[in-house]
Amino acid sequence: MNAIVSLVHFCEVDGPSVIFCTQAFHANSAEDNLDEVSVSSRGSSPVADQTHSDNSRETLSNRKEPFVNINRPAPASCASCAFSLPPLDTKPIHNSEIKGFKTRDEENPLVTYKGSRYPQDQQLYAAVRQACVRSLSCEFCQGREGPVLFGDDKNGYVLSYMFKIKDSQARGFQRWYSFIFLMTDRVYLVESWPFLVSKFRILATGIQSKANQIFEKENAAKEERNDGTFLTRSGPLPPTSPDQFLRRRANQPLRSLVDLLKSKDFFVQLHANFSWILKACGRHLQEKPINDQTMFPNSVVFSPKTIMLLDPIATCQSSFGLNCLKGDYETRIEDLKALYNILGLDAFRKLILNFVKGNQLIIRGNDPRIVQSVISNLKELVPNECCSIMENENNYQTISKCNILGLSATTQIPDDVNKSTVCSLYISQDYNKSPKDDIARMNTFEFDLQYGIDDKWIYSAPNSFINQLLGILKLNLPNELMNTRIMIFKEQWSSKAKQFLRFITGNNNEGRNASANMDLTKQMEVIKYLDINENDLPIIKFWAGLKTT
Amino acid sequence: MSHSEGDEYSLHTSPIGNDVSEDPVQDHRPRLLIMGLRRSGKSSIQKVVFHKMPANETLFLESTSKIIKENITSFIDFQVWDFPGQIDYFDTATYDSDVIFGEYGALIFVIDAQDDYIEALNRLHQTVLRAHERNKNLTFEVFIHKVDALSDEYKIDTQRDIQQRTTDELADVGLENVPLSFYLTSIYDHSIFEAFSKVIQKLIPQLPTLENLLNILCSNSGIEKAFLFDVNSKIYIATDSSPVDMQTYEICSDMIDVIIDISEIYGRTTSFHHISDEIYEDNQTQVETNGKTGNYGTTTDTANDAASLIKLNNGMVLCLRGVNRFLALVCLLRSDNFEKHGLIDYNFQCFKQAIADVFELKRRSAERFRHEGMRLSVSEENVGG
Repeated sequence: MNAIVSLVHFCEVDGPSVIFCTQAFHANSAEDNLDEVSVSSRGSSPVADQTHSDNSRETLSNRKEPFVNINRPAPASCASCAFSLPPLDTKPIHNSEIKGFKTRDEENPLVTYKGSRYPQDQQLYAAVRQACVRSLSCEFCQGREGPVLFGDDKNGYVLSYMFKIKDSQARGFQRWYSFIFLMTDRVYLVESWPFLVSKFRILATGIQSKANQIFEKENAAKEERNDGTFLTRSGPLPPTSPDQFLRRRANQPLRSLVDLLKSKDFFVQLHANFSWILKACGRHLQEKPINDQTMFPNSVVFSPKTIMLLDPIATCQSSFGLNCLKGDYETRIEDLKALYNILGLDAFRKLILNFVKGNQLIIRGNDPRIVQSVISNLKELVPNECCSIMENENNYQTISKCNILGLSATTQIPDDVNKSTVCSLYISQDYNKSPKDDIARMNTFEFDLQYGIDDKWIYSAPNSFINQLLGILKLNLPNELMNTRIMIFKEQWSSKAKQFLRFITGNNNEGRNASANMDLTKQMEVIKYLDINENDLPIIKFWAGLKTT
Repeated sequence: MSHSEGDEYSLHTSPIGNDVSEDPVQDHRPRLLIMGLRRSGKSSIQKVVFHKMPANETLFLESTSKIIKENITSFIDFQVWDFPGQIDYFDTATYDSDVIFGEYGALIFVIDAQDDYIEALNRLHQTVLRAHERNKNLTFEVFIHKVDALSDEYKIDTQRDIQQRTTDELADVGLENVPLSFYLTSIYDHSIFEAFSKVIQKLIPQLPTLENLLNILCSNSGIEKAFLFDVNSKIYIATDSSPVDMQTYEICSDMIDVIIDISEIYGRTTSFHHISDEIYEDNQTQVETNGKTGNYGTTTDTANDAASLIKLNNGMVLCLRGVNRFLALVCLLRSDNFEKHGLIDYNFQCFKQAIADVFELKRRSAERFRHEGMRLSVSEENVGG
């Protein structure tokens, strides 16, 4: 995700100015030579920065410059819009100027989050600057505090959360700030709106309540001071003469946030928060429009990088249709329901469970067309990437090559194959009797189900996958509707599988390989939220592409 | 009583008219652009003049971060744009300066006279250069502001200095002919209203007609000085050709305040009020308000009948007459001349009719042009008094 999050301020002296921004960098992108000090995102004692005196000297020299430099990208800064780091605990490695923070992502070593006053990239700087000016001095928000979304393709899209904080030294006793979140993907930004707004709101109210406390304290102190003198009245006190007021602080910048909130590690915390927001925002699941406008396009290239809720249904339809055209209507098993009727509850259940759990299915039969139709029905049940098919083979192929295997009736399964990972279905039809009516024709099938997983696992406990599937099959829907229903059912489960995968790989640095070893209690916790039960775990793992063994 | 309840006053109307729905950028009413360095007093001026904010409360205004656009609906509709001082609006990358400066109007540049004004002059120079480049018709008004704390001598020196420097600098780049006017202003006295009056008068195409009408009225009724006031803002939009004395202006302006205050309290009912009250120790006041209050958007005549008379102890009479719902005529005359009461009343009726004709003409031509989808051009036609 390509985004930058920053804090901007309408400075009394400089107008809209960027105070601080945090960006995520990936290790493969060009490393820039910022002299940051690394800060752990946990906010433990931060290692930081250079002296404040440097800053103030800079301020002095810049202050007298004419207005022309207001919009110049030079890092001219007054105290109120400078960001500063807490005093050093340890000496920095070298004495050059330190510009920001760097946070390493503990879960993904390739990512670092860098916080600095400005983004290093010139183009990005322009975009952030533009967003800052626009958010503070152009955009209006209902009630003046709150979120606004604006932007264009050139400068990116911006979510800006405006808020004001109390400051007893400021004009009107308040100062305007805004959090801005800039990214190029408008759709993603809009989708992230609820998340970002809620997080920004929490941050803003935190800052505001802190500032309020200090504001009240300062006001009370001021009143007390004035009680001793000749003026006694409540509220903010006007200066004794307008002249005095106008001269007072006229050219003096206001306090920085660190001083205003009296929290030395304000920017460290802000950076940690920004980093977290960047990270969390990049992780949410996203719905993407797929190229084809139809709901279930026939073929879409599946790339592992895109996350799609809608898995394309591959070419099954066409092969299915082909079979149909070739003729012999009678030798085909139309749909899952037909298969269910033929096999009966127990056998169907066993077959399906073996399949969705990742075992190899071997379909044998004297008529290859029946075998093919069974296979095409079955493969619609699982996501495409979980399904590799060899429809018509004469020799046994291992599970690494395919998980649905169509074999000729005479082929034997070698003895060295682990029988618990294989489930074999033998279908034969007696051609001599072929009665006219459908129901009788079903009865002409003979089948034989062999091997596969323990019956115990099948019957020991409720399994939501098979129960839901059977529920759908019993619905007595028209064919087309039934197919759609099954498709949706499959999408639901594959989305559960994806969430599961996200969750366990997210918690694990080594990714997929180690995730199978992840402790069971954690997995149980996850599946509880996904609304599935323990017995579905192997299914979910298989669908997520994890090895179950 | 809050000043914001504008449409309840008999002489008062809400600054936001019935056409607020129009896009302020799209419509072509004249613009007053208030610019200047930060803390120079732009927002204070705007608040004091158009919102009746007491001057000492402006100390607590927060700094302006956005352009504040405000539509003023009055005898002449215009917009006031209050700019934040921190932002350079000529930066073409960020702002479309043609949209901002392209319209007919005036640019008011505010300089804080109590501060070191060298930086402000630099900015003024830049502003004039670039704004003139974009729009040759823009008039430039320089308010040398916050002069209340300065001594009279120092005031004059400051104005001379600023005027000298600015014109010299502009002459250096060949812009001698750009019209710049300088005003000494302060929100603590009437000078800001006076300055605003002059600025706005430049935006009124009918000004010569109005002045002519006032001259005729004055000479025929023995009036010493007459002002045509915009009641809302206490800006005078026209006066007769005799020189304006600051004290005269102040007393006339104060009279409007008195009328507004009285009508706020007593002017709400439809019944006729005759109040005789002693406001000052030696000023006998007689106020007649016949203002039916209520919705001014539909009934236009209600405020027109407002009339008031204040006799001053120096033998002068202050006389106020409502002209229409935005305007009031305030005139100062000797009590000897006030003997001919009926004549003055008659003359005033004629004057009122003439004013109505002038604005009716403008309104009709505006309507016609709106119908034809053409750009509004204000026709100027002399209407005899």
